[in-house]
Order: sequence, then C-alpha cells, then structure tokens
Amino acid sequence: MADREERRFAEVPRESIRLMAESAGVELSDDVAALLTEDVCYRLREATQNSSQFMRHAKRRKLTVEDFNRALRWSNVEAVCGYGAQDTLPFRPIKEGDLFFVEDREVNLVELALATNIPKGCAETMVRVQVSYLDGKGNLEPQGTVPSAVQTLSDDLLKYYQQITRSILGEDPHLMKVALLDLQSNSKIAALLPYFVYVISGVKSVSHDLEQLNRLLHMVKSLVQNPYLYLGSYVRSLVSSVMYCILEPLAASINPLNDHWTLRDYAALLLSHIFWTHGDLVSGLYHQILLSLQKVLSDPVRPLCSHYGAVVGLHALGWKAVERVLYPHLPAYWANLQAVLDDYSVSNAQVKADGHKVYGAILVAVERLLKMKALSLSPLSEPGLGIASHLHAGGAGCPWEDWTPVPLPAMYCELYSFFGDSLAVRFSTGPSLGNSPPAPLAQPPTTRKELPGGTANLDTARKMPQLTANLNIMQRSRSSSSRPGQRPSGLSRDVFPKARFNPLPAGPPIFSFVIGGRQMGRRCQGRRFQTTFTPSQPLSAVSSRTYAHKLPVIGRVGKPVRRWTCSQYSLHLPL
Amino acid sequence: MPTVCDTRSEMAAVQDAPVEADNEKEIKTETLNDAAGNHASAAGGVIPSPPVASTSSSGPAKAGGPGSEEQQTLMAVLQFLKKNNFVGAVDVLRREAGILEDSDESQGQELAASALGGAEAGDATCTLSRASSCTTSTPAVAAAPAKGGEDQPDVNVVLSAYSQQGDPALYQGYYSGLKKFVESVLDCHRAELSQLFYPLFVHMYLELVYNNHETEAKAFFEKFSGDQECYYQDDLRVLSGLTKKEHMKGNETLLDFRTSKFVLRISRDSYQLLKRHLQERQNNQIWNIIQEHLYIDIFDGMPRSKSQIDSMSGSLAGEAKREANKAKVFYGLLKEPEIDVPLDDEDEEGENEEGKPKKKKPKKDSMGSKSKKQDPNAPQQNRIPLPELKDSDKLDKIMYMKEATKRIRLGPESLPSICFYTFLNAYQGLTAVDFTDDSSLIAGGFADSTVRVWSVTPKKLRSVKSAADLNLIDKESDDVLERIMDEKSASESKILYGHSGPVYGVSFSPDRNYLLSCSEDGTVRLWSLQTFTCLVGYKGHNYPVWDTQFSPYGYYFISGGHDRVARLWATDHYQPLRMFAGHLADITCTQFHPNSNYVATGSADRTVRLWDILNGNCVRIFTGHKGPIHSLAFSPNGKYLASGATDGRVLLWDIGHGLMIGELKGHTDTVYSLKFSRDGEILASGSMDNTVRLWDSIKAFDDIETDDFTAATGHIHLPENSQELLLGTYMTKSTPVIHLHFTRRNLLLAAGAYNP
Repeated sequence: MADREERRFAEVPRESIRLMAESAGVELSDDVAALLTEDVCYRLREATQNSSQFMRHAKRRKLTVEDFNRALRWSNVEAVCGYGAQDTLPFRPIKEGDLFFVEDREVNLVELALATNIPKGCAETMVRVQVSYLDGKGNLEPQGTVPSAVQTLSDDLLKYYQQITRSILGEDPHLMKVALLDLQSNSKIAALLPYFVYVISGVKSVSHDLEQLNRLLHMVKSLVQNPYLYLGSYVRSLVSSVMYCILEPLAASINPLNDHWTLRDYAALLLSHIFWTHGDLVSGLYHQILLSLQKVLSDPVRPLCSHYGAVVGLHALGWKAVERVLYPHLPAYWANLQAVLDDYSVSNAQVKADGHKVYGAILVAVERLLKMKALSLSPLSEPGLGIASHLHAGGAGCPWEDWTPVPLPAMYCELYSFFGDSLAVRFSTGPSLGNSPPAPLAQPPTTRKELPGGTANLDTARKMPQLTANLNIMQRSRSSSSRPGQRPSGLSRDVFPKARFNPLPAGPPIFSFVIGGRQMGRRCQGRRFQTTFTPSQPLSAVSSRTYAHKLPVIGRVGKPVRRWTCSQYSLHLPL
Repeated sequence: MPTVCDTRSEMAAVQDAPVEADNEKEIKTETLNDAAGNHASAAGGVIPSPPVASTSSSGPAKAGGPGSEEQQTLMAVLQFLKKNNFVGAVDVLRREAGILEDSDESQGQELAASALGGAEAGDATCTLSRASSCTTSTPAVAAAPAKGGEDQPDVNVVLSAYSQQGDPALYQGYYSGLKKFVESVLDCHRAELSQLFYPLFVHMYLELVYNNHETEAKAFFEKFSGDQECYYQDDLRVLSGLTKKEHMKGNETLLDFRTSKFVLRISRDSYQLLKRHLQERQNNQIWNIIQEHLYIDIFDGMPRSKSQIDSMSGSLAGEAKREANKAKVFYGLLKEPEIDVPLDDEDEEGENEEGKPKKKKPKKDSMGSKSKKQDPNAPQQNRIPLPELKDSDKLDKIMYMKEATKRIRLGPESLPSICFYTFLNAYQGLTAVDFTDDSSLIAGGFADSTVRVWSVTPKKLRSVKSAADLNLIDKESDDVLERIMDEKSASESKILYGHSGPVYGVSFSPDRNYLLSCSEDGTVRLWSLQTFTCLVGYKGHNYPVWDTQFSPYGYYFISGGHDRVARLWATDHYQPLRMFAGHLADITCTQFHPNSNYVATGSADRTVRLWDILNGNCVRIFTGHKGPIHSLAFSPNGKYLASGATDGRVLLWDIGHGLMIGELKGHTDTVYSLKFSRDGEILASGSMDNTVRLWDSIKAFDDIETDDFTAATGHIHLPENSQELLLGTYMTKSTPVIHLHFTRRNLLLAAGAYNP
C-alpha cells in the first residue's frame, strides 16, 4: 500500500528541470529547482486530468497528444507542437550519460515537394448500413463468428484461405491430406469459417463431380472436428450441404459407373457425426433432418438413389430414427420397391440394380433396428438411452400424436413378412436359438455378444455381398424351387409368401412372440395397411404379389405424414 | 443599534443604483469564469481579493464589537468601489457610514500587505498567506464577502475557511477516533455514520495541505485513503496529487467541494449518536467541519442499509437534499393537436379498387381521440409558448401517425431488429451522431471540426438554387418546391464547415430543416438543411460545449458545456433565454423532456438535474451515479428518465416521485447512448464496450412498488434484477455504439465509427 502510494504518479526529476532551465538560460538554485519540480509535476497532472475530458467527449479510449494540447490551450498554456503524428515516436537513450531523447528526423521539404510518389488521399468517410440482428436473434455466437458490419480479414488469413481451398480442391492428394489435417487443428481460423461454409455450400454446383463432392465432404469433416471452431448456426448450412450429397439425385449418378453410393454412405456417416457432436447448437435439427429424410422416402417420384440416401441417412442417425421413420413407412414403400425388383425388362435393369441397393440398405437398417431393440429391452443397456436427453427438451412442447412403440415381436413378425429368411439369415443366430427356445429375457446376452460382429461389418454389409443370396431366395420363393441353405430357426423358407404372414410356424425361436390379436389391433391405429397384417388365414394364401398389387404403386401414399418430436427419440448409438 | 440599521439601508441603496448593477454583472461573469477553472481568470480572481485583505486586517481592529460583521461588509463594499474608481460613490458611502479615517488606514494597509507579500512568497500566494495569518475570526471572514459580494464565493474566500489551526499531529487521532466510534456502534447505524468518512477525510486532508503540513497530509492520506468507498477513487486520485497550498488555487475539484456543502442523509437516531459522541469527546475539530462543510439531512425513521446508501451516494457533493426533489413536476405529455387524418389513402388502395366509397375513414381517428383527455400530470398547454404548426408539420404528423399504425409492438418476446450504421474511414474521429425522427437523414460530428450529413434513403441531398437562379423560376407553377432545388448539387452527403474545434454534439430539428452542432470552440451553430450553410453561431459558452439538443417541438434548444451552465436558446434569439446554473462540474449531456417544459442535464459531478424551463428552477437532483454521466433518455410517456455513465451503469428515475427506481448493470464501459422504444417497452443502451443491450423497461418500472413511505423518504430498495431485465446483448465487431435511434416502426438503428 505504502509502496504504491509513494509512486502514485510519474514525477519529473529535479535534474531534468534544472537542465531544461539551463537550456533556456536560467540557473536554478537547489531550493528553487525543488519547488519548481513539484509544481511542474502537479501542473502536468492537472493538465492530464483535464485532457481526459476531451478524450471522453471524443468517445475514444486513447488519449491523444491533441487532447493534451487542448487542455493546455484552455489553461492558457502554449500547446506543444510536433508530436501529433499517428505513429509512435521512438524514444532513445544516448550512449554517454542517462539522457533520453525523441528522435526527430529532419524532413527535406524540397524532396517531399518534388517527390514523384504522390500519396493517395484518404478514403472517403462513409456510412454503411447492415442489418445486424433480425428480431433480436443471432446473438448466441461469440463475436468471432458473427459476420458483423465490417468484415476484415487480414492478408495472412486470406492467403491461408486461398491455399487451403486450392489444395483441398486441387489435384494433389497429399496436399489435400495436409490441408485437411491443418483445417482440423488450426485454432485461428474462426474468422474464415463463413468463407469455408460458403465454399462447402458449393456442393450444388459440382454435383457432376464425385471427386470434388468427396473433397468438400472431407472439408466438412475437418471443420466439424476442429475443436477450436464454434460452428454456431453454421451447422445448419453444413448439414444442408451434407444432406444434399445424401439425398439429391446427383448429376454424377446418371452414369452407373460412378460410385455415388459410397459418397452417400460417407455423407450419411458425416451427418450422424455432425449431429452427435454439434446437434445441440441448433434446436430442432434432428427433427428437421428426420422430416426431410422422411419426405424423400415417401416421395415415390424421387429416384431410387435418393431413397437409398434417405435409408442410409436414417440408419446413420440411429436405430431409433429407423424405428420412427423407416419402419412405419416400410409397408407403403415396400410395394414400390417390389414393383421395381419384379420388373425384368431390360430397360429396367439399371433401375432394378438401384432397387437392390435400396433393398440392401433397408435390410441393414432394420437388422440393426431389431438388434438394438432387443438390446434396449435388456435392463443393462437402459441407462445408455438417456444420453441424448438434452435434445428432448426442445421438442417437449410439440403436439405429438400418440405414438406407441411397436413391440419387438410384432415388429419382427412384420419385418419378417417383408424380408423373409434374408432377415433371419442376417442374424445368424438361428440354429442355437432355434434349437433351444429360451425365455425372451434370456436372449439379450446372446444378441449382444454378437453385436460387435454385426456392427463391424455394417459398412461392408451395405455393399451387400449377401444381397444376391437374398435375391435368390426371393426368386426361388416365387418359383417355389427349394435350395439347400441355412434354415434359421427352423422356419420354412421355401414359401416366401407364406412365411411372410406366418412367421412363427415352428415355434418362437429367435424372439419368441405370440402374435396376439390384441397387439395387432393396437398397431392398427392410424395405420392403414396394418389391417392386412392381422394373422388371418385367408390372407396367407394370397401371394405377396397380389398383396403388393393391392397397394398403390405409384403416387403418394395416403398415409398422413407423421409429425415427429424429439422427445420420444432415444439417440443412443452404440458404435 | 441605529448604526447597524443605517448601514443596512445604505447597502440596499447602493445596490439599487444602476451603475452598481452593471458592476454586479461584471463580477458575476468573472467569478463564473473563475469557477470554470480558467487560469487566465486567476488574474481576474485577484480583483475581488482586496476585500479579504482589508477585512482580515481591519477585522482585528474592530473585533469584539457586536457589529463587526456589518463593518466588514461595509469595508468590502468600500474596497470594491475604490478598486473600480467609483470615487463619488466611495465618498458618499464613507460619509453616510461615518468611516472617515479609513482611507488612510486602508492605503497604509495595502502597502503593508504588499510588503508582507513580497517578503513571504510570490504574488499570487500573498493573499492566501494573509488570509491564513488571520486566525481569529475566520467564520466571519467567510461569511462577510458572501453577503457583501456574491453568492458565488471566490477562491480566496473559500480557501481561507481552511485556515483553522488544529494540531496537525492530532488529525490522524481525530479521524481514527471517529472511525473507532463508528465501528463500535450498532450495525444499523454503522452504514449511515460511515458516510461521514469521505467528506471528513477530504476536508481534513485539505486543511492539512492548506496549512502547509505537507508531510502530515501525506501520512494522513496514506493511512486513510484506503478506507474510502471505491467509487470515490477518481476524486481521491485528484486529491492525492494535491500536496501544496499553491495547488489548491484554481483546482476545480477542490472548489467544487468547497463551494457546496456535502449533503448526507442520516436518520435521527444515528445523528443523535454521533452528536453525543462528539460532544463527549470534545472533538471540536470534527464538529467544526461537520458544522461548516457538511449538510446533514436528518430524517425520522429506520436507518438506511449499506446498499441503500451506496445506491444513492457517489456524487461530488453527496446526495440531494430531500427538499430538492419535492417540487411538483408536470411530467405528463402535452395534448397533441387535432389533425384530420386522411387515413391510409394510398396504402389501402388495394381494398378500394372496387370503387367503394371511403366512408368509415373519418371516425377512425383514434390517435386524436386518445390524446383528447388532459393528463392530470401534464403542464398547461401554453405553459411554455410553442411554435405553431406549419402545414408541413401537419403533413409530417400525419405521416407519423400512419407509420405508428404499422409499428411493431416490442416486448421480451419480440425484440427489435437492429440496423447498424457504421462510419467507415472516419480517421478524423467521429464524436457525435444524430438521426432525424423519420430516420431519413443521419448527421455526424467529427473531431476535425466538420459536420457531415448523409441521406439514409435513396433520396439524395439537394440544396436550394442560388438567388440568381431562383429569380428565373416560375413561381406560379405547381411544382415550385421541386423547381427551387438545384439538381446539380444532389449528392449522398454534404459537409458543413464552420466550427474551429471538434464537434461534440449534433441535433436535428424535428422538422428536418435545421441542424444544430456544438463544438469545442464554444459556439453552437445552426445549419440550414435547405442550403447546407450556417445560419447562426450562438456564442455564450466561452468554453467547450459538450452537448446540444433541439426541443421535440423545435424552436428551443438547450446546450451545456465545460462552463457548468446549461443555456436554453430559441433559434431566433442570439442570446440565451435561460441559464441553468448549479452543476458543480461540466455538463456532459442534455436532453429535452417530451413535453418540452423541462430539460435534463447530466454532469461530470455525477448528478442529473432536471430544470424547469418556465422559471429556470432546478426541480430534481438525482444522485447515485459513480462517474460522469454521458447519456440521458426520457421515456416516451415522460414519466421516467434513464441515465448512463462512465461506470457502465444505467440508472432509472421516476421523475414524479424524484426517486431512483432501477439500476441496470451489464455494460463494461461508458454508456454513450440510451433510447426508449417508441412505446417505451424496451430501453436500448449503447456503449463504448461495443455492445448494444436491450432492457425490459416495462418490467423495470413495474417491479418497483412506490408506496407512500418510499416516496416520502426517497429510500428505496432496488431489486438486484439486472440480469432478468437484460433481454439481449448484441455485439459489434469493433465499433463503439455512440448513438441509438428507434424508427417510427420500432426498428432499432445504431451508429458508431469502426475502430480498426
């Protein structure tokens, strides 16, 4: 305290005063010098205090020489000239002795006057207006990412931006790798974020070039993974770019040789990644994604590759998403798909191949749905479901049609009715379970044990090596030719239509469930096609084809679009 | 005592003389200048000093006599007359008063005094030292010139009050004794009595300095300055620099402190405690200071809590006396003139396409009918004469009403959109901004003495043609108003040259024909927005003018500056109509009440004052800010006032009750701009910290319960609800927000210069 008090303010030493007096030709005695020093110090302080007023009224934070001169002028003291330059004055010591001085170069006026480089005038003062905040929104981002009234980028940042985009979109894969890595870890690029997002939104203009799309998606991934970036509302823009890659009938997909499927798969994975890491930044994001996926899926006019995208997208978002969107929609969709797959005309070959892709994707999705569903029944895994509970809050207020989860057995039955044995095959647990039908409660451990295997080959599974086998089964079932193969759970796989409606002819092996009329009845609520699934014997005689033909093949399904809320989703995704 | 009566009547006679009246004026200006801290006028300040010298030296001669005070007064007058060579008056006065021997005596004394001064110290200090040499009758000395001369005491007189001789070594003891006492009292009294510390500390320190006890003063300061409330830091810094008697001369802060009694509000119980303590201890030193320099406003009732005290204190001269806020204020709005509004003839054309006659229009004049009822709190319509409405004003009113119907209702759920007007390349320094009420023009004042006006709409700025060209115009044509404009002069912006110092304030007239600007050069200028030339330069402030503001009805305007006087002007008078004096430091911002009957001024003395234009009285003093006030805003209904200061806080005041009713904390730097939305639901504040903040003003005003007790005592419990009231914080990149404006549809416009 005392120490601080002693140097409350800067003081001019007595020696300086005496030197100054000497230079003015006055000899000062010690006493006079001491008195004068004190007075000088005080007057300086006074002038400084007065000058701060001019600073405040000029609405500045920096006290300028001019402010000080004004204060001097108003106290009838001559102003000090020559220090008004904007740049700081170099204050130098002299070698011999403790003398400091301000370097004051001589300016050659002649040279200055005759100089050829005429300085450019200052830019005109102007006023620019910008809507900074609409309806008081947009204030959630910290300042770094707000595109505010004046956007300034330092030259370095601009250069970085150019280099990065050039190398990512350029030819050299090595360069690209380096650039992506840097993008992933650079902590100083917050100001560039809007620019990158803008670049990425260019996916729409390069939909003919899979390679470029792929690179842009990688860019998204890097940005998302950068821990120093706060994406804020840019998440929405990124998501829409990624969704474009997933869902749109890209120009590149016209050529069947282009592997746009992989791109869609990758984009779907990316989507889920964005969602899991940044989903909380934008409220209702999950909801919106689901809605748009559902819209694509329920639009029969869309090409199959779009449907494929929707399915993998749902799959990537987790089994709950599949359960909420894909599963209820399946009966309607199935009809369309079936029609495509059953058309053997040459002109349909390409479409049919696409159809198989979709088929496979659906299969993979429902497979995991079943597995996860079974797992979720196990009390052990219950806590995991609460992970995404923070997302539920957003949808709490939404009106929600009463949605009751379909019980697992019923679900399995219905799915089985679509996929037949090809579904059972994928569980590959048939024999053991089939041999000893245990109580449902005892099953989960086994299912879980196999889960790693199941998830590990998810990616490969999507490419569907088994697809042909499944198809064979289907074809065979139609031609009712029998072929040796796995016999999961003792089901008769030779009569596909039959199996479709009689899933449990040989006891309840895997998920031993009884199809009770009550349960089916409950499921019928609001679902138009469910009524046909009541275990009525007469129907079992009808071939799948006839069943399929009853459904509207083309055109929108009359089913009301469900309105989803997050509140009932669990987003637990065991990876 | 017949002689006393005689002298009194004599004095009255003297003052009544016309010649004297002139002199009075001269003194007044000089002392005013002096108070403003001009060094040059320090020389002028010497002029009134001889009375001090003569009274102090003649005081001992006449001391003891019961009429000595009057005698001294008389001496002072005589001295003054002589100084100004009013020989006849001197003779008459001398004859009448019967002081014949004085002429020789006083001359002799003057000689002696100058000799004494030469021996002791320099010229400037000699009067001080003489004053200090007189120790016996100081109260009388202090009182005498105050009566005889002006109510504005001059420097030497003020300082001479410090010439008491206590033992400097005991000062610390006195102070710490009081401190111990205050610490020992009951909790409920402690906070109140702690208020004494700061003024006592300052006065004791100044006494020590004044009496040349430099080391003791330093020790005293070091020992006790840490105890003072943190919001006095700025003043303490000034004090700490002041260690010599010579420094005290011309020091503004000191003069401020001395010229006004520091006001404390203390409950009766606490005061009794204090009084008893001081009497028991025979602690005369402190008692004297309290008697002379403090004004203790005693109230009956519960002692106040620390937070209550803290919220109200912080100003340079303590709190406002309760009486100061008792005057009735007519805060209601004036009745709007009735204008037949042809509602929406253009906007509803779509509906009228089918040729429906516009039948229902006339009765839909809701705006007029609402304001037909006279607000009981409103002033008389003609209390202040207001300019008559011109046709163009009526058109504008109609436009305003139309716009008002499209106004967005704001609230916590529907916040306004914000448009930011950024001044780019403002190297010269943007110092002030104003928008026109219809948001069509924006003006900026710059530190390079220029004023620039921009058109915010696509409509360019055009000036009227020159006189020669105007002669050629067909004056009968319908579009004559269009023809007089010089198309060649059309441009987006115009620059107005005229000031010779930074422009610190700009203000548009409500009819958009004029622009006011005030500057460091001491003038306020009126510019025409038709010709873009300067019309008048109003000279009156001799020091920087910090702010100026047009009345909401035009014609009048207010200006305030470094000279601590706010002046009310009318555009057609070159001299001010009113001068509002009372602030103890610079007037930093000014604002008209919506009914144009009052003006509010914010000052560097950390108070806000409300002045009645009719009679020039100060009707409200609001204390509580802890730093110079830089922004003021009245609520649209005229009931409330918001003020923002360098401490980053915004305070809300109830004008009718004279109470602080809210404190909005959040800004981290000076609040340079405040504005209520058009309906008053939202208060927007713009600050040096590069943010705009929005506050829920409805809630802020509703949460306060102003029962009779709080209204009577002025002691209010402020709820700590800044965070609840804060509706949003909006950042700029790097632009201090120096002006805010709500458009007629409640879009928020903000302005500032980009600060790279």
